[in-house]
This record gives sequence, structure tokens and C-alpha cells, in this order.
Amino acid sequence: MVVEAMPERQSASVVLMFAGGSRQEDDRLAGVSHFIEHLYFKGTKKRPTSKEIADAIEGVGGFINASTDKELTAYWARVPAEHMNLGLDVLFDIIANSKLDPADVERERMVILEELRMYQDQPQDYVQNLFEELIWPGHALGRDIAGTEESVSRLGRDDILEYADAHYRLPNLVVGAAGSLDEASTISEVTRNLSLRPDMNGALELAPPLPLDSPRVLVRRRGTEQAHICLGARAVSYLDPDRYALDLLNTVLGEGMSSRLFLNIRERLGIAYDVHSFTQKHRDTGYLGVYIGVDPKKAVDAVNAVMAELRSLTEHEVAAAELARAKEFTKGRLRLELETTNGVVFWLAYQELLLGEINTIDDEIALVDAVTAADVVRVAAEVFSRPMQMSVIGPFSRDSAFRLAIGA
Amino acid sequence: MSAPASRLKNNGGTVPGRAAAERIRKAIALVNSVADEAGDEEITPTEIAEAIRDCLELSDVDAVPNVRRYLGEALDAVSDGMPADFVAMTLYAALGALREGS
Repeated sequence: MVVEAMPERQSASVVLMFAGGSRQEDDRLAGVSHFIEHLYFKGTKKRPTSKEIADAIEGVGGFINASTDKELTAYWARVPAEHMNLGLDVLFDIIANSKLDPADVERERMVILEELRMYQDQPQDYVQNLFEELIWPGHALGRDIAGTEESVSRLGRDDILEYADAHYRLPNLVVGAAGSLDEASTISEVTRNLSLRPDMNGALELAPPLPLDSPRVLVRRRGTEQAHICLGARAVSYLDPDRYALDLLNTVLGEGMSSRLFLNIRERLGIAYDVHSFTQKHRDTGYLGVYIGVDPKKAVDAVNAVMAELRSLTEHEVAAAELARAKEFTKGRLRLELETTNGVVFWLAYQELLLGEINTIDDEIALVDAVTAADVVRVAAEVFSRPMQMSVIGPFSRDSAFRLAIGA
Repeated sequence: MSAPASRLKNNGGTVPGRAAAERIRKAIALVNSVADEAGDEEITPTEIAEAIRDCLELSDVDAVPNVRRYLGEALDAVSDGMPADFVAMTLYAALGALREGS
């Protein structure tokens, strides 16, 4: 359990964060973690409908929600501080006492299938899914967190109950609380609510993805007005000491309106409407990717311009002023993220669950400050020497020009 | 000491890639007029192919990696009856490669 007293705040945020997400699912069970997350809001013995669950929290002006990720699933509530115990009660209630009514399973299956189809109609998001399929081919990390239409259609109530029983156990849980709270009474309240099974049902399996041996391009032909492109390469995990250098590399490259991609490709060349970079990190792998939203006629030109920016980062050290700006950007964003009780509780619970230790904000800032320009160019050279992968959605009937652009 | 003014002027020689860029721009304009259905005269695929071959005749296109290959892709796309937008995209890629390499 992680607790942070923030006595000057009006709110308290509580989170139940479980190790295990879509990465732990095999093809047959793809999407089950996300399915369970939806079902837990349908009703419990004490609060039999979703309305009663929502009313309990919204009745005091609070928020309740959940999210499923690839390596974790989180249920959270943010409430006025004096109602923190109510927040904990509702969260533990939905985790331990959900009815998982067969009719709700069928209704929610339809909702999730619609969600999957809706996502495919959003090319800016869907292109990232396709990119992750290329980055982690044949691996659960490369699959949509919500599963596939086939797997979601097939999942039975028994599969769901079995999976929930196996994964929603105490050893997989981190409870977090932050805000205007008393530490001792919070711990006591959490202890009173804990009714999950204390034993483990086997270790969580984390099969690493296989190495990539060549660059690849995946073009999905759609009659879109814009071309949507994701390109990038495998990068480091969240346990790797180079993760701070990777984050600064990403900031210099494509985060915000002072980044190289924005200034050179959008502002100077005027090629792309939207261009930015992003990272994703997991226990044993990660990637650095670039998204480009562009007029289809300029699609390959934009890819070439991005490739030139990547090459430049591998060949020349980032100037001192640019690196200093990137550090201030990173540190500032971290501080802003930790303004809210929700931000603090997620930050602490993530660290406890994924890293097994908790850095203070000062520790994190020191680690960011310790990165040198030589570190950034070294990490850039390592990342961009790996096989580039690129997904494209747009009105394209062949991929040869795209393959040429990334040497595939 | 600053360089003599005469040293800073263009001496009339060819800037590498400039001629190729001009010809590629002409080919793009031709293809775009087809894509936009602009102009009174109908532009045939043969005319577009000729414009691309004009680009390929210049030795400049070998000075920068991939320019010749993009132009070859564009020519193939014309031969295969691909949409004008696709041909334009490949020509823009050639022009961009020239820019990145110059």
C-alpha cells in the first residue's frame, strides 16, 4: 500500500491497481481484462445496478473510473476528502462483490464489440494499433487491449470468472491513497476492506517479444482525406537506466511545439499538419514512435523528412540549450502531473507495482538532470539502428515508395 | 576578415540538384493538374511519363540517394495506371529527398 498525505488539498484519490493486463492474456482470452473492468461497474450485491455504483460516488461530487493497460488494470475514485472511506468502500465492493450477471455479460459484449469497431473508424488511433502489431508481431503486446472481435465474441462467463479469480488476488494488488487524509486511519480502513484471496495462483507469465530482424511497412488502404502514419523502432523498457535519456530524446524530437519535428516539418517545411513523437515502455521492451497526419500527396515526403530528423539525432549531439530546455519541459510536466491527488496516487502506485520501489520527485529530477548530450546521442543511435517499422492508413494501393523511405 | 564580395556571389555554375528540382516540380504541376481536373487541355499519361523521363535524364538525380528510385517508382505508377495523386506523392518524395540530400 502507498499513502501520501497532502493536507492542504480538498480531495482524496484512491486507486486499486492490479498487476496484469492484456499482456497476460493468451489469444483465446484476448480482451478478458478489459471485459472484466467493464463488468465490474454493472452491479454488486450491495449496489445492484451501475446507476447505484455511480450514484454512490457522484452523489458526493466525486469521480469513479477504471482503465485497463497492457501490464496493469486500475480502478480509481476521486472524492472530497471527508468521503475517502466511501471511495474505498465502493472500489472494494466492485472488485470483490460484483454480480457478473449473465445478462450483463451479453450486454457488455455488444458494447465492447461496438467499441472495437468505433476504434477502427478513428484512423489516428487505429494506425498506432497497427504500428504496435508491427513492433511486437505475434505477441500480446502487439494486440489491442480490448482484444479482437473474434475473442470478445467467444469469451464465456466461465472464462471471465476463472480469469478474475486467478488475477484479482492480494499479491497482485497495490492500494494507493493520496490527499487530505490520515495515514493510520487510511491503512486501517483499507485493511478492513481487504477480502481478496491472499494466495497467488501461479506467477504472472511475461514472455518477452522476439527480436525484429527487418524493417517492415503495413499499408491499410482507406479513402481518408489525410494519410495517417506511425513509424518508429523498439526502444528501452521502464526498468532500463537509459529510460531518462530516451524520454529526453523523445522531448527533443517531437514533444510539444518547440520540438524538432514540429518546428522543422510543420512550421519550416509545412509538410504535415500534425507531427509528434511518443514512447511506450514495458517491463522488457518499449518503442519510440512518430505520428504524422499529412496530405496523402506529401506522405512519403513527410516520412523522408522525419527520417532525416532521426538521422540527425544519431549523428550530432543535442546542443546544451536544447537539452536544458528538454529537461525543464520534462521536469515541469512531472510537477504539473503531481498537482492533483489523482496524479500523485497513480504515480506512486505505478512505481510500487511496476518498479518495486518508489522514487521521490527529487530523485526523479536528479535522474533527469544527470542525462548528458552524449547519453542522448548514444540512445538515439541504438534505437534508430534497429529495424524501423511503419504503419500507414490512407488512399494508397501500393507500399513501394513507403518501403523505400525506411529502407524496407 | 570577411570574404571578398565576389566570392559570395553565384558564379553562374549549376547548384547541385537545382535543375532536377525544377524538372520534378514541372512534372508535379502536370500531375496535379490531372489530379485537380484543372485546365482545358487533357493531359495524357504519355505526357506525364515524358516529364518524368526528362527528370531521369539529369545526372543530378544520382547525386542524392533514392531520388532516381522515387522517379522510377513514379514512372512505374504512371505505366500501371495508378491514380494521379499517387504519382504526385512519389514525385513529392523525390523532390523531398533532393531537399534532404542537398
